[in-house]
Amino acid sequence: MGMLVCTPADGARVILLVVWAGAFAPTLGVAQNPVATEWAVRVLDASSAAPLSGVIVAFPESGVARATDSLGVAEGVVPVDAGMPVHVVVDRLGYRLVDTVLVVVEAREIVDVLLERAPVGLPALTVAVDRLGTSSRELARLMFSRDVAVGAVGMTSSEVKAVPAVVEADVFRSLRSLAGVTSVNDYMAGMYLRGGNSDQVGVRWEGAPVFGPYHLFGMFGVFNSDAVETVELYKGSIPSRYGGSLSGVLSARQRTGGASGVRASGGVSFLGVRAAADGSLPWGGARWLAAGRRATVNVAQVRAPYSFHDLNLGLRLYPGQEHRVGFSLLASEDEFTWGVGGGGDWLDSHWSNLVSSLTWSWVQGNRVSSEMTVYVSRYQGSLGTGAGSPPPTARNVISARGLRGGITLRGERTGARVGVGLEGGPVSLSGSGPGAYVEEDASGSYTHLSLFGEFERRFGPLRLAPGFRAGVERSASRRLFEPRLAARFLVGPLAVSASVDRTHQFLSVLHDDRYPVPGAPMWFVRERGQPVSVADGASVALDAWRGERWTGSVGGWVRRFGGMPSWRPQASRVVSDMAFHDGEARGWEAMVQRHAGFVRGWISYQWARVRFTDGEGVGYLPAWDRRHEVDGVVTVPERGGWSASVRGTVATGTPFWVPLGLYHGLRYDPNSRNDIPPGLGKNGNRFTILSNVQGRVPYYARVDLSVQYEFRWRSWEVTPFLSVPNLTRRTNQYDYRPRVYNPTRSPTWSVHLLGKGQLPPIPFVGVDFGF
Amino acid sequence: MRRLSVYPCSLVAAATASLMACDLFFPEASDDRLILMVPLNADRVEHRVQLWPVSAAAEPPLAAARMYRRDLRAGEVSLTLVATASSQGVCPGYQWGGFENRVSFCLDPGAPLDPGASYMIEASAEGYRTARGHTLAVGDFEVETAVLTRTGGSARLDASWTGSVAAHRYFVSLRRKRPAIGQNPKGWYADVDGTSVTTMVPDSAIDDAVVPVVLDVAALSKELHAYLTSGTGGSFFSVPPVQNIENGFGFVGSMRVRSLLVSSK
Repeated sequence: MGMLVCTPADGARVILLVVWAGAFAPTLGVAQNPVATEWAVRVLDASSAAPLSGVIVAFPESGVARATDSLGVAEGVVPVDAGMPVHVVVDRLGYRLVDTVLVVVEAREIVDVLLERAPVGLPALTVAVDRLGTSSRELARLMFSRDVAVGAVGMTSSEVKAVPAVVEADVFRSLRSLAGVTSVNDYMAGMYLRGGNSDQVGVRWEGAPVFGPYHLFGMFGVFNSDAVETVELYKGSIPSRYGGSLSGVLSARQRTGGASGVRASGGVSFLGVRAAADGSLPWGGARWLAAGRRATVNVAQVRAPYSFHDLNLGLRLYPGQEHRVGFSLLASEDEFTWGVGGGGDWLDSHWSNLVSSLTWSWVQGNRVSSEMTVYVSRYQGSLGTGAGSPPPTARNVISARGLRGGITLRGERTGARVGVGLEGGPVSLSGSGPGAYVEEDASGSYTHLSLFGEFERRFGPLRLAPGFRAGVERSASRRLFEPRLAARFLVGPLAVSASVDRTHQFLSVLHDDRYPVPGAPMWFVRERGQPVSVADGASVALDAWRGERWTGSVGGWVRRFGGMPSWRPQASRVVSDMAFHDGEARGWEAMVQRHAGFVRGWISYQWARVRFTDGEGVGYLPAWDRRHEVDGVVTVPERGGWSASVRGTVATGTPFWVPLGLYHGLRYDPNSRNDIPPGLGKNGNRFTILSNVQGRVPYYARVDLSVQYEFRWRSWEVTPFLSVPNLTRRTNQYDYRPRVYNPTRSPTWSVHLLGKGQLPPIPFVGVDFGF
Repeated sequence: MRRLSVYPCSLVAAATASLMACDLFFPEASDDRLILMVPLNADRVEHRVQLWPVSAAAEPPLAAARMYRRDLRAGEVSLTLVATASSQGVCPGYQWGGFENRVSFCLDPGAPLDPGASYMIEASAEGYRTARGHTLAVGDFEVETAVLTRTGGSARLDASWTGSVAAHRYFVSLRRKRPAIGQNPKGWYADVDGTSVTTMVPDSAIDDAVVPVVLDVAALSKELHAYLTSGTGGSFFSVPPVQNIENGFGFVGSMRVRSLLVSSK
């Protein structure tokens, strides 16, 4: 009979000495003649030698595990060759684990294993229920049951990160892969919904408006994907509780910590570094989150030092079973100075957001709940273009404060949500003088008081949801009324939804229609006498789903616009030159999504047509008039540490204003003494002159790929990744600039239009980590 | 499940096929406006005018340029023709080379411009809209002091000058050596509102300055100053500068430059 001399080391693998009484040395020789051996393991208490029953004896290499019987014997263990080592793990609650290698030297041998007692340490017992909306399917179901909002879509944080990224995951860029979400080029993360401009999509963080929601010239969104739990996107059909946005609302919720422990994560990429931590506090079930990013880009060759950073802080408290208090803070700052064109001109811009909200929720059973949010949103932006130090600069400051409260009543067949909102503050917009993006002082303020109501009544499979929003804008003495009627007919796994609605917007970004400038958005409030933008729309959608894996939708929409701001400054850049145009848009879209399985993702298609008419009745196409767009995202979740995702987009080109030509300006140079007048002899920048004729750039196509590998290093999860945008190296053009040349040196010069290319296939690598 | 996967594929095929019908369309565009550049040199009798059609591919036009003096009489603007040029010509001493399809004229009113007076330049060409713009002629002035004080690693410039009639602002610079090829072509200058300046001068401006150091002060009309300090070119985006040409592009402005040797401390 053999006996193991047991080394009580938790989990430590130790080669033990096998003792065989009576035949010690010769047994080793048996190993030279391997014979399949029947044998058994007996497990005994090390102090009492009592046999231990129910002990698991596992053989990891062969995947076999056996339990000991009442005599402490585990029979039927794996056959081994005599003299060959075999790996055994013996484990029982209350004893130290034995993980060892032994050698069986004789047939029908019973090997004794002695287990030493050990105290049992148990972690704190925590019972927690995760909120709904943690998976894409659950989020879709939650939004579907909460509102009758045609075209509303949601995206979880994991979905945002699953879409192949340009540098790193971005909420805005990921949302642009969904049906009905249009973009104009790779360099701008802005979204265009239902025929409206990008600033007509209200961006909200925990209910508070964000006026400068972009980083890096507008290339990325300001939301840190590590801090986002879910985002909800309403396209055209906007619930009445959201006001002030013409074409859509992007509502983002902040993530908070888990129920126990502290988790940390972060990453390093070409863009910069980011870090996040979350956890819980011992009082009131409090959970917290802190996340931040910092990026500094300084490429000497392009003279474009750029830096941005953002910070998210969140705290959620549960002071009672019925109460929840949430606090969130988003702070961001962008700054860059860019020498452009080689003519001594500069583009200087700086902007920052400070957005904070405090929300109190009170849930009284299943039938009554109420919520109140107070928030502040301060935005500061400056935009300098031209020569000089500093160049002529426009500045914009918004200090908005708001309060929104509402109560929700739920019944068997009826429901209602009514509330009130108050938001306002000064909007300062001014320029340093001639040449600034805005030359005049166009400051103003707004105070918007509104009352909203959302109601619903179920008639069997029919769910009728009328609503309204009635408000006054005090600064310009405007009265706004937004009626809304939505209905949904549910038949098994099919639902037909329809909605008619009206929306208004009186706070807009100053877009130069023809010569767009990257940098800080400049907001202006409509003066008294200027029209408010208004959109009347109707939409219909058919939603279908198949189990928990598949969902799909197809829908159409039509909208009519009035009072759309159009700014084409000529001799001077003054806001008072603003024109207000009418327009119309229509489109249809379809989307199929697979939420679970080895291959997940979605594919979407949309057709849309947007057309505006200027004050003289001349029609034109806005830059976001993409007729067709197909987007597809395929993700392969983690297998053996590897995961991958691919995104493909094929779309119609966007309209552009055909350039007539360009001219070299003059610049002041104290060096050019031989010119008359002195200092004015040098050719300055080339300025493009646009015609009033529009063209359309070639179709757009792009394929992005992202691959990552996750592994553990001690207590860390490390995930290096590689993402390559525009894998096919297609030069997608988004605009043209003229180039003048004289190949024959004749008096006649030729003009040639060069396409402005979009994102090249630059591979981005980075590392994410967490512990 | 297999049947469902057919739908996305069909969707892609149909949508991609429909995109083929939406390829580039690139209509012709034309324009009947002129670009006009007139920096009036208040120190000279001759003034160079350059103009060319907006459409870069167009032939250089048969054009004419005229200079008017604008006076306000009884609340109305009266124009007096003071110079005209109907044939191309280069003013003596001017070194602007031709570029693109530009046409140059030399306007000679026969006498220096009256400081503070308003002058309008008008250019017309067959088949084009008549372009015009006006400005005030800046007056004479003198640089009074120019002192460069070096303390440690920094240098401070203190300078003052007499006021120039109709000058909107002044560019103050240290005359510098011609930059080498590859060197940043942009020279340092300060944009000053007033008749004196105290400013720190970057090392690069001092390193690049000619010896002995000379201070140049340029008095600029409002229109020329706005034109020179605004607008952004480049391939990524383009913002037009401030321009003051009716029915066209470009500018009409005036300037005058005065200099003084800088004394160092």
